[in-house]
This record gives sequence, C-alpha cells and structure tokens, in this order.
Amino acid sequence: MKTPRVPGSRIIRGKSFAAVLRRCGIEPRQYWLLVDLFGTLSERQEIARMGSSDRAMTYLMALMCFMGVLISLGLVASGVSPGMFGLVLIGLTVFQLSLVLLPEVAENLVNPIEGMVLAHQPVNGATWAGAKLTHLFKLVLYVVVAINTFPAIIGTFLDHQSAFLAVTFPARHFVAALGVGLVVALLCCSFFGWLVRFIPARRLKRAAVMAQAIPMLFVLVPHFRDELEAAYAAGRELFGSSGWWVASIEEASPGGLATVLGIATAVVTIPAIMLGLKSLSGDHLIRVSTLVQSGTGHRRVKNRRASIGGWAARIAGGQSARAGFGYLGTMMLRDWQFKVNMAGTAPLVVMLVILPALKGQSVLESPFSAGFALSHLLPHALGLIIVTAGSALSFGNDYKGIWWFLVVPRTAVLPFAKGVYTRLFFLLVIAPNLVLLAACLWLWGVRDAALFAAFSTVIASLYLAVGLHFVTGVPFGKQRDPSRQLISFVGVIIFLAAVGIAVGIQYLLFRIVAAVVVSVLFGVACAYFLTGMAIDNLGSRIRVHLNLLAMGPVGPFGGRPLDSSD
Amino acid sequence: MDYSTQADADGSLVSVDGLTFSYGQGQVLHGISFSIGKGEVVGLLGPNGAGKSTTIKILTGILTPGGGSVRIAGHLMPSGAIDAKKHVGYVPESAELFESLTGQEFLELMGRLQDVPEETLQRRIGRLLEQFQLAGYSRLDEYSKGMRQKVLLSAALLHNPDIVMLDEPLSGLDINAGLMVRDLVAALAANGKAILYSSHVLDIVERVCDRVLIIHEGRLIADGSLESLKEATQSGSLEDVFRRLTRVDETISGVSEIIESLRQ
Repeated sequence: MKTPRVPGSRIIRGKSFAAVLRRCGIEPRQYWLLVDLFGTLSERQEIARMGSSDRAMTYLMALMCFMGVLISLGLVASGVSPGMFGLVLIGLTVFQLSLVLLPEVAENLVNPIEGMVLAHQPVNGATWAGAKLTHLFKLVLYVVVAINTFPAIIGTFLDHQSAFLAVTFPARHFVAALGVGLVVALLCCSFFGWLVRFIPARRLKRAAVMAQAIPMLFVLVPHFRDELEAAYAAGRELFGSSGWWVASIEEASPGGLATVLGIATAVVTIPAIMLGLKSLSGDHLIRVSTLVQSGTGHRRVKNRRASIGGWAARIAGGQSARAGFGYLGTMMLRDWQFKVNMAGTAPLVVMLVILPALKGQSVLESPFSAGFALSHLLPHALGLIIVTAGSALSFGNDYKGIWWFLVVPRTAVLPFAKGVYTRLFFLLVIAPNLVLLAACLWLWGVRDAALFAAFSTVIASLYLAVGLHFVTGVPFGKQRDPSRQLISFVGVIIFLAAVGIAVGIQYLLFRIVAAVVVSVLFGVACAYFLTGMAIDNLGSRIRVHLNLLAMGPVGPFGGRPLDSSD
Repeated sequence: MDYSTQADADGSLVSVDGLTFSYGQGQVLHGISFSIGKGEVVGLLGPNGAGKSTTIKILTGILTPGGGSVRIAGHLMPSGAIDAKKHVGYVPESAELFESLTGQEFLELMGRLQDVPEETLQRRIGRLLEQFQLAGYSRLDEYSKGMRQKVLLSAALLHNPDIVMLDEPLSGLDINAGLMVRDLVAALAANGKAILYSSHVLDIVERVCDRVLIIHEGRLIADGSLESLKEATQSGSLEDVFRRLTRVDETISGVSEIIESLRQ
C-alpha cells in the first residue's frame, strides 16, 4: 500500500492542511492512512469499484462521455440558450451521480468488513467519515469530468452574449458542474447520515435498499410535466399577487427572487448536510459492527417445508433441482443486492403501466378493442422485471459463500440450473399471468382473456429465456459491479425502444384472432427451443464459474493477481 | 488524547461492573462483573451463544455497553474508547481482513493506526512475520486459515498493548504455532500484560489461565481460580467443572439421536 504520487500531494499532506483537519476533529495521520487504504482497496476491487482505474471503469467513463457529447451536440443543433445547455448537462450529471453515488455510498457506509477490521482501532468517527467522504469525492470527479469535459468545449459554439462569455464558458460550466456534483455527493452522504440517526441498525439495510431506488424516480418527471408547469405558473401568480413583501424582497435582492430562493435553499440544505454528516461521524464503525451482529441468533426464521419444492424436484430433475429451486427462492427474498436492483425497476413499471392508467388511458381495455389499449404494455412491463431479475441474479452480498458449490458433484449442476429456471418460471411467468388471467376473465370475457393471457405467458417465457443468458455463473455468486448500474440504465433505454417496436407489431396481430393463435403457437415452439438452450448454457456457465473458483483466490474475490509494482 | 495506562485503585486493568447488553429485544448479557489485573491470564468460557464474544467486543470498544460500567486501562467506556483502544490488542473470533492487502501491508496499516514509530514498526513486523513463518507471502486472500490467524495475532501485538484479548486464538493454527502462542501468552503475562483468553479448548485454558470466568446464558456463573472452582463443584478437572455448571450432561443424549438419524 503506497501513497499515490499526485501533484501537490506534499502540500495537501503538509502541516497547514493538517491543522485544518485537526480543527474538524480529524486526526491527520490516520485520515491519510485511511484515504490511501480506501484507494488501494478500490484499486484492487475489494470494495466498490468506483474510483478504481480498471478497464470496466474506463469503458464506463467513455460511455458517459459519449452520452454527454451526443446530448450537447443535439442541444447545440437545436439552438438552445447557454443557460438551458448548462442546465440540461448539469441535470444529466446530477442524475448520473445520484444513480452511481447512492448505491456506492450505501455500500461504503454499510460495509461490514471495515467495521469488523477497524472498529477496535483507535480511529474516531470524524476521521473515518472524513476519509470516506474524500474517497467518494473522487467519484464525483470521475463522473463530472466524463460527462462535462467535451460538452463544456462544445458549449462555446452556442449563441453567447459576448466573446468573453463564450471563451470563459468551458471553465464556468465545469466549475458549476463540479460544485453541483459536490453538493449532490454531500446530500447523498448526509441522507445516509439521517438514515443512520433515525433508523434502528437492524432496519438500516432495508432502508438503504429503498433509498437506492430514488434516482429512478427521475424517469417519472416527464409524466408530470403538465402538472409541474401548472404548479410553476400558479406559484408565479401567487408571488405576483402576494403584495408588497415579495416586491420589496425582490427589490432588495440584487438577483431578484431567484437569488432569494437560492439563499433560502442554501439555508435549508447546509444544516441538513451538516447534521447528516455529524450523524455519520459519530462512531459509525461501531454502528456498522452492531448492524452485522443485530441479525444473528435472536430472530428465528420459520423453516417452511414447501410442498412446491417436492413438485419442482419431480418435474425438473430430482433433489439437485429442488436445491436450485429452494436456493433461488430464499436468496431472492433475502439478498440485499438483488433487492436493490429489483427496487430500481419499480419506477419504470409505474411509468409503463400505472401512470398512463392514472392519466385516464385505461389499461383495462381489451387488446382486441379498436383503439390502442395500454394492456398491450403489460407483458413487456413483466418482461422488464424478468430481464432485470436475470441481469441481477449473478451478483450477491454473500458471494464468498458459493465455495460450497465446489464440493458438489458436477453432475448436479444441470439439474440445479433446471431448478433455478423452474423457480423463475413459476415466480415470474406463471404466477403473474394467472393473476392477469383472473383479472382479464372478469373484465373481457373468456376468449379475449384466454388469448391475451396465453400470449402474455409466451412473451414472458421468451423474456425469461433471454433473461437467463444474463446469469453469468452460480446465482448470487459474484461481487457487485457498480459499473453495471449505468450500463443497465443504457440497457433500459434500448429495452424501451425495442418494446415500442414489439408493441406496434403486437397491436397489428391483435386485429385478427387467428393471427394471435398462430403467434402463440409459434411463440411456444420458440420459447421451448430457446429455454432448453438457455438452461444448458446456464449449466455451462455455472461449471466455468466453479472451475475459475477452484483455480484459486483470484476467482472468488474477483480481484486481479497482485502487480509487481503494488 | 490520554495515552497513559492507569490501573484502577485495586490494580485492575480491566474492570467490569454490572454489564448488560442486548441486540434489539434479545438480552445477551445480564449484569456481568469481573476484573483483570496486571500479569493475570483469565480464561473466558461458556457454551455457544453464552455472550463471550459480545463481552470481548464491548471490552475492545467494538460494541457499546447497554448498561453498567466498563473501565479499560483506567478509561471509562464508551466515552474513553479511543484512548482505551490504544492499550488493547485484540484477536477476533472471525478472521476478517482486507483480503487484497498483503500480510506486510495489513500489519503496517494496523501498526500505523496505533501510531507505532515507523522504525519500531518495521522491526516488529519483520520479527513477527519471520517467527510465524509468513514472510514472502502475497495477498491475504491467498492465506490459509491458520496463516490469517497468525496475521491477526501479529496485528494484536504490534503496538505492545497492556491488555490482550484473545477470542479463540488457536483456531486453525498448526501444532507448533499453537504451542508458541501458549508460551507467548505466559510470557506476555510475565511481562505484566493483562490477558483475557476466550476458548472452547478447555485443556489449553486449564494450562494457560490463572483464573476462569464461565458465562452461561449471559450470566457470569463462575469466577475463580481453577483450584477453587474444582473444590466448589467437587470436580476433578475443568471439563467436569464446565459440565456441572452449564449442565452439558443434558446434551449428551442428543449425540445418540444424531447417530440414530444418520442410520435412518
């Protein structure tokens, strides 16, 4: 573990900065030790990988960079004002940061290993929290640089009021993005500080899961555009007619009402951040240790003798299949990472199904009706959940525990994979479609309901066959890869585009009953073929994963062999 | 910060009075009291889930006591935890380590966090790695269980603490290393260190410890020298003392049931 040679590090690590740290209750020597430790652990992929410099991170940054360039070129072409240009890009930065930071902060702050190793060392809470925040600020720098570097340059081609403003635009934009990024990072950390303060340790993990779905709520914003515009107009009207006091504030403030609102926001935000961070710095390592301990021993989990497991064993291939069936069911309910990923789909499903329904576009209308019925979206909303589940299944919190699979005979792998598939099929294909069938029977009658439910089941089966390809080894057997967060976000955008095309074809098919029947039969054949292939491939991937695991420590912990330079 | 070691008025380096603790609604410790003086080796025994590790975690400042008072080297816990931790070396029951660090790097980190001067630190690390035959190995994720245990033992001793708390220290160690640790404990005590030694290996506790504490269901049911406990319970060995006090006989019938279930 070496101190990184960053320009100016001698000054930063010098006496004057140490005095500043001491004034904040931070012990400088321990602070730098911990900053270096987190950097090393991140480089070697032991803690969350953001901030490391491996190929996945480079790819992720290139992707963010590409998005930034694409959006900024679009904005320049559409002739937006420099203010709007900056606002859109900073908005994108905030969205990406919250998408990346919330899971990262949760992972960093509730990391039990750190608690177990460091809690008995004489490190005070402020020192630990300060080092942690410094580590997280690196992330902000990565995201801000990736998204804003090229757009800041492209922004000079906008229609600026003067040449000076055009020339200084890159610097101003970059500073603004970095400033907003830092505030977002502080807000994320302080948000967890508030969680730590008000939520008991044993419920903290569950709360952290729910908190990580927050950024995805941004996707709902466009749906409420009309309502937001109406509220803004009402607000303006209210302030416009609020008499002398608003007018006098506006007059007194050099920047008008916007400055006053800015100051008011700062007055609320700064204490919120300070109090949140104070909560984090108060013996957080001890709290993490309590968090680890609080789940042990005292809550008895009911040992359910699921009769469905026996049935699954009969249809999927014996006790090994039953093991896969049971393992997956239990882990899906209990694994933190999996729950985090699934919580992220909730806003998208709301966007696809519930919001249109709330806006009066009925999802209750039969797909066979003359107009376009939103019920067409239901199989794809389910498909989104299935594909997300598939892509999340590889990763788990207890990934180190899968060494147990090494002592299992390799002949058990394929039945195990079949058991995994059976659980997913029952849970994500059969159960929701039975509910759908019951609802449709009541709403549309036997013919429409039966055909639509059959069609939806086939579509869901196809999605499951595709989703299974995303399981890259033993389910829940790999360490979380934060860089997937953004990649999966891009995946969702591609998915939504594909759904648009599929729904269009589906709408045409549902004009003719016979076409639906034929497509269902054809879909069953495809699903059967693809599923067989997907299960075999899953078995192979599990075997490869186990072989890698058996080769040594590089496998289970996802790390690289130690460089000679380390 | 106060780095001075202060024994209590009675000469104790560890002083626990009426300690209680609970995880949520489950009460784990019910008013435990004991003390450990300089040069004393105290064994901590108890069945699984009795509260031994919880007690040690409170004494090392990892958990906050629920009630009662705990003083470590004169520092009241939890308010004086940072100062107290300077005087404590701790070997945890589970070998949690930063897997991607090397043994040398891990020991350097732990020593520097304890503010051991660099020259002394490097000399001690070199000696410890050599004595435990760990020199030359790379990342900790390549270490065997016993090697990881040796790293934890080394980390606990690096800053020359006044109090050493060992939670199952021999777990995974080979015979030679086990014998070495046994001798080391005796030598540390002879140098005036207070040692709390938690283990399920009664034979070792019997050989190493001057005094034994037995915790059962969160209550301290015995505190005394080996001889006094044998005398009080009319037992011939520590194993008999333990059986009598924790009613292990009741579990003996369970063994035949396990064997029976394997036959079916």
